[in-house]
Amino acid sequence: MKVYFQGLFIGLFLCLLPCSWSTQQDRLFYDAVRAEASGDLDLAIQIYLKTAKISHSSNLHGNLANLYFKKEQFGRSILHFEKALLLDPKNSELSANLNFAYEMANTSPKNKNLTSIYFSSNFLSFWIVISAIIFWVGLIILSYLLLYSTNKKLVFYLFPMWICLSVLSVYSSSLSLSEQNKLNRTVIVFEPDSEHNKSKKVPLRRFAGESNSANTTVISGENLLIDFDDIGNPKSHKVSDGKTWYLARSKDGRKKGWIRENEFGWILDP
Amino acid sequence: MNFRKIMPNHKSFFTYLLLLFYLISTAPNHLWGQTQKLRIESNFQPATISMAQNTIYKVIIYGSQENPQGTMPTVSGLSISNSPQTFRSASFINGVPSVRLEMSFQVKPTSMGVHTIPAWSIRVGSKTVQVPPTTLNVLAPNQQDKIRQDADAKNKNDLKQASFIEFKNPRPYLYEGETVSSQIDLYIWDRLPVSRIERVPQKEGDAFSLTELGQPKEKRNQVKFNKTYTIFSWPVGLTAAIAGSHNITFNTSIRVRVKSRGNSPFNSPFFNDPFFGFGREESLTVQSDLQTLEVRKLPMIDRPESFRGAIGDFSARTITNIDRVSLGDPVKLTFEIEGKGNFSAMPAPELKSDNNFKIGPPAFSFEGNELTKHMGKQSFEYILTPLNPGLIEIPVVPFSYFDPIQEKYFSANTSSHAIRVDPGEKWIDPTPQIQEKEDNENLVSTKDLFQTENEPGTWIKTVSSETLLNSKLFWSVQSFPLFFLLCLVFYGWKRKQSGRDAFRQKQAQLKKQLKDAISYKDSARFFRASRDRLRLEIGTLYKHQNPSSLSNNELISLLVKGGNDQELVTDIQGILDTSDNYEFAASEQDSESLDAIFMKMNKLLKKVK
Repeated sequence: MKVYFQGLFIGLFLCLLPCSWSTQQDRLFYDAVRAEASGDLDLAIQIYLKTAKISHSSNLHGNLANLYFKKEQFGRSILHFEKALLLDPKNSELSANLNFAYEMANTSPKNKNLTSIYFSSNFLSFWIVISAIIFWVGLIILSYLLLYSTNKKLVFYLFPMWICLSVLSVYSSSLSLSEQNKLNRTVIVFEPDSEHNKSKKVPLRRFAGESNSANTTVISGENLLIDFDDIGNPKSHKVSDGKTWYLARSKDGRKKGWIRENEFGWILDP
Repeated sequence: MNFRKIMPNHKSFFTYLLLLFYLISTAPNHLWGQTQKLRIESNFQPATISMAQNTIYKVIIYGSQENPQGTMPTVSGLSISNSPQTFRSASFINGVPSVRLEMSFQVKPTSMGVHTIPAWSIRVGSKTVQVPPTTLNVLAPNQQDKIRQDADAKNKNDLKQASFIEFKNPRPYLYEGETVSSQIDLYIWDRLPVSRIERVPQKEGDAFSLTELGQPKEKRNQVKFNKTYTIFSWPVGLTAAIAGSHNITFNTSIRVRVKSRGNSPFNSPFFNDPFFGFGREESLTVQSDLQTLEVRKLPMIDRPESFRGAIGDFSARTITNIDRVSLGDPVKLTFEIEGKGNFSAMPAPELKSDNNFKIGPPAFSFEGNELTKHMGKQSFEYILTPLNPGLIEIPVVPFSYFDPIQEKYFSANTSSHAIRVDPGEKWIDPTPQIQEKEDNENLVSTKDLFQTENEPGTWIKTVSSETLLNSKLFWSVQSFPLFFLLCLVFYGWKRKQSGRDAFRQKQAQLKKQLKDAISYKDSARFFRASRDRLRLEIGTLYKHQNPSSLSNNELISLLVKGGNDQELVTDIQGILDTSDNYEFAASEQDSESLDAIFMKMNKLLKKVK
């Protein structure tokens, strides 16, 4: 009997755990909204960031991005708008905000042409499903025609068509996949913390370490790509002060150098 | 019958008759003559001449009229023509027929003395014979010869003075690539009856290029050599192309009216006189004296980097159309070169884009003498697009030239310009704005941006990239179509093994045969295919090992055993009997149409249990 009650208790706990978890971030979220409404933007940001360590939502990152924008920290604002758009890609308001933030940060937003839209990382699942459908349906139809139908002529028309469609769909999937890989590596540059740095530019150093000279500089809000090694881990180096440095390059590949971990934010959780 | 129709030209008939008579009468001569022994003579006629005279070298071949073959030896001091005049003759000498061939060569002496043409071989038909040597004595020119030579020279000179070309070049030397303004004058004596100038003067001399020759300027009553001339002048630009010492000459042809060769019909000199509109026209070639021009190479010492081939005397300046622009607006920079020189061979000075300006290729324009392109003003118009705001210095146009008079290089320094480039306003594409207005102001204005959301929305654990390729569910789902495919392949393979597919193929084949037989109204083929089909389908239905071996009775007994209706059995038997009748007693005619039987058979086979 005791064992029975113990099992029931554990079961109830496991069932209610997600509810309690959900309640916690909701509570924090509402606290942050209230802090913002009272005009305490810093407190609101702190609470939102605390919430983001537990869970994520489009509105959470959207609100956080708005607050950063109001504090003219456009780099962080852009980062959270990007995160919010990933969670809610169809939100036009977020998209407009992001463009405006890019404009204020004097950086160029991503090109929105047809190719970048339909072969973006958002469409990766769509292209994979399409590829699978084309592959299996074509294979089944061709097998049926070869094994059951007396009219084999149709096979000669269907087979090249199937090959072409399969190649196209796989190619589209690979395009989306490469965009996805790029997104995994993308980071947004923050405003420099140092008050001495009045240029608002973040240096990309020649070597990992604060004392090293800058190869080049980037501005806050700029998108950078972190270099990954062969096994898929970011190329990083931990220095004596405990800070980790990452090797980054601009999207066009012209700027390259080491950047400190607190000088940028990952769009996707690493 | 009209005699004229048969013999339309009685004169020619008689001509043919006479010719025939001649041939018949002289044939023995020819035949006999050809059989004569070959003999060759050679001599000069006359054998003694003065230097101013010509003579004829004769070679006479007796006993043949065939064309001889051979090479005459060359003799120094004599110029012998290569095209002899030939003369064939046949005659009776003392009753003996004789034929001969005479060849006459024009000979002109080039030196005095005794000149001998040595013996040389000649081939006549199949025989080779020797031409005997002969000697010519050339004496010194006598007084009469000298008088004649002087007269010829005078005539020649007079003719030359009647019309000639003068080429006027400013300098006896040019530099490689230099263009000078020259003039070609065509002098025509007023007493020369010229009807027209056939073509403009042509240059002979590949080391020079010439600008196009336009309409000439005409000057009348110009006196030279105590004669009155009309001068036609063409100003040209002469460009030296290759270094060295080169010759240049010009020629043209004019049409002149000369005295007729024959006498006039009225035997009057008036009707032969070209000045009175009579006579005939002849083309006369007019030549200029040969001129040698020295073309010098450009010196390499002190040659500036910006020198790109401009030779002459120039002044240069730059002009901008505006002093203040907005960023991105074009600025027109005109670089003008004025003076004398090789404008036609002058390339545009090179202006490279830099951080401040994007510079496009220039447009060319020339003001001045378009024909010679030697004197005038050449403009190069560049379009500069400023890339940065601020007070920006327009780059100086680098231009150097070589002065052929001073024999030095010069750089034409232009003054620098500064322009004020304003940052300008950001260009906004008007099209979307119009569209926005049309869309009932649906879009969010800037004021409405960055509004706080009061609800948290849907929570998710992480913002990470989880692709479908990493999803186990996705790969699990793939097992369904894979399983379905495997089943399909397996069942199909098994089916092939069981022979059902072969049955279906045979069935389809027989159906096709039946349809073809119906369309061609081929009853025999139709009934044969019908019987085969019945055998195949009924035999297969009752799992007979070899359906094609079944007889009619066996088929009927199978149907009866299967418990089929008597009516169905009777109908099938009827079809089978008809088929047999067609095969074994082809005279029997079928009353039903083949198509109806086919339909009926389909229905019957569907009913078979």
